[in-house]
Amino acid sequence: MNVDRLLIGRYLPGKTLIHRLDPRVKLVITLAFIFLTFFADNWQSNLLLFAFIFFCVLIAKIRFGFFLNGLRPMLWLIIFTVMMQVLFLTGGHLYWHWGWLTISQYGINSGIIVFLRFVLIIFISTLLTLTTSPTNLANGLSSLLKPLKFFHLPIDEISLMLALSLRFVPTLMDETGKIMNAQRARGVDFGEGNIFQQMRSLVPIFIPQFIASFNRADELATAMESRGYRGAAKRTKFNRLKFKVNDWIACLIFVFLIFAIYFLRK
Amino acid sequence: MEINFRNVSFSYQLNTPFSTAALKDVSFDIPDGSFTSIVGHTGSGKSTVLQLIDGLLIPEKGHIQAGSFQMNSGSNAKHLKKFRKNVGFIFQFSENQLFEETVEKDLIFGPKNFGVEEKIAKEKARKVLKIVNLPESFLQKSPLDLSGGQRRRVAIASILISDPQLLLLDEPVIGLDPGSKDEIMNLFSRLNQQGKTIVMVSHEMDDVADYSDQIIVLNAGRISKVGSPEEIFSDESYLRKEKLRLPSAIDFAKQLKKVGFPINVSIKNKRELLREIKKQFEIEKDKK
Repeated sequence: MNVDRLLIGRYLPGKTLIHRLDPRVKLVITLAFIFLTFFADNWQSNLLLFAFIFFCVLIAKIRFGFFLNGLRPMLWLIIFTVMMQVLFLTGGHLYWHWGWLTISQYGINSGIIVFLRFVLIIFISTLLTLTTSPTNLANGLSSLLKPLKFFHLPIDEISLMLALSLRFVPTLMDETGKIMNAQRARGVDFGEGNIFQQMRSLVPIFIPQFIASFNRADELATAMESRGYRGAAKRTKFNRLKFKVNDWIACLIFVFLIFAIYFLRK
Repeated sequence: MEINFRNVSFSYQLNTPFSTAALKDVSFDIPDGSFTSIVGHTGSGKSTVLQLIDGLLIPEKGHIQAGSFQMNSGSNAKHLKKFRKNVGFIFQFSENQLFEETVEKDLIFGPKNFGVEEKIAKEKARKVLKIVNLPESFLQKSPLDLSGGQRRRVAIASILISDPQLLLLDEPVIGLDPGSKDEIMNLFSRLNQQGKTIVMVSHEMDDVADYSDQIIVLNAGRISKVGSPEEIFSDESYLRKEKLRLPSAIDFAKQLKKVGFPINVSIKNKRELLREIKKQFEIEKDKK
């Protein structure tokens, strides 16, 4: 187990065009892009979506190896889903069959499409988290959720919770690493023995981690209150989100992409 | 336990864009039975050295020998139990590692992992609690009911219980009250005199000067100087360059000299300063 390897939710600081885009724009485009992948059902439309991502990655100046790393934790899920498609879907030319299992033209086709869809979705979400700082992400999200205030949802509280939890992910990871080392030094071997022994060896990590987290939450609340935080009060922001020319251009490009996919699909 | 580092380099998060070099081409020797302090600025690689010694990190380049145990870039981080049995590692804020329901259970956690029988381990727990100066009644208490300082003592006891030949200390007394600080540092010093090798990372120059016989100064992942406390602390311009504080005993002796108090020998720690001042007063008394 290596805490350092986890890339999900990692942010790579930078000053490129993609980094500087309004987080709301990035969030909406990412969501819409994920939606769009479900409409891409032939190679032309998939090619276009991939071209779009490559284009963005190029602008963001992020090494491509990063995106492949992002695929790794999802690998088994992808393989499983693709195999389901390939082995159970029938139709078109039949290449091979054994009992229920068949390999057919349709199966292979939809297997490839599903695989590409996974890759696209993982790439675009990796791009989002790599180029947007957690604070910005939370700001964008809470700004997008604002209309829900109409239904008396406590958006400010939710966005604060979101921002805090994102903020403390690296802190908690650090701490987990430290506690793991401390227990290793006392003779624990993580990742050894059968599954029950492995689960048991996590107890000496989780309990200190829980204790530390509760203590920290308590201290954080005190610190916030002593600086005058009140949940109900209307808050102003130091970094206010503002649409700029680039944001409009990004939206425009994406609208073109939607139309292009619409015309390219079967 | 003797420790040798030969041209050791280490980077965190190797092969990612977050990769940062923590140690660059570091070589040094820690003799068996010594009390070695590692000092340097924040981020100079002090804690990394300790973790490399314990096999918690694997060197990227170079070769490490700790006792009969050898490690280089190809080593596997697993199956180190046998080695770690002889190494005690007291981490920064070690009180955070306690997790069991009672102090006793926490103390025997290490020995049990190393295959010591429960009955023997419990016997040891009773003894080790005395060493860190806590009453035996604490054995059945929950670690959560103790104060921070008491929990630190329990954590230190949970390492000492395995009777390690090598002790790695990462700021062991940080945040303790002055009384406990002295008491625990004296405990380590006693263990050192019993023949245990001690490697300590500390920002507290007074402790470094009072207890260590070798100092390794790290600067941005490289060795800046290795030497005895006398060698390191006598060169004031060097200390200033490395942003290290002069130990207060040495500083005090310097100030005394400046106002005309006759101190002739070079002072290297608190004990020597006290001895020297006492001697001067006795000379004064004899004159009268």
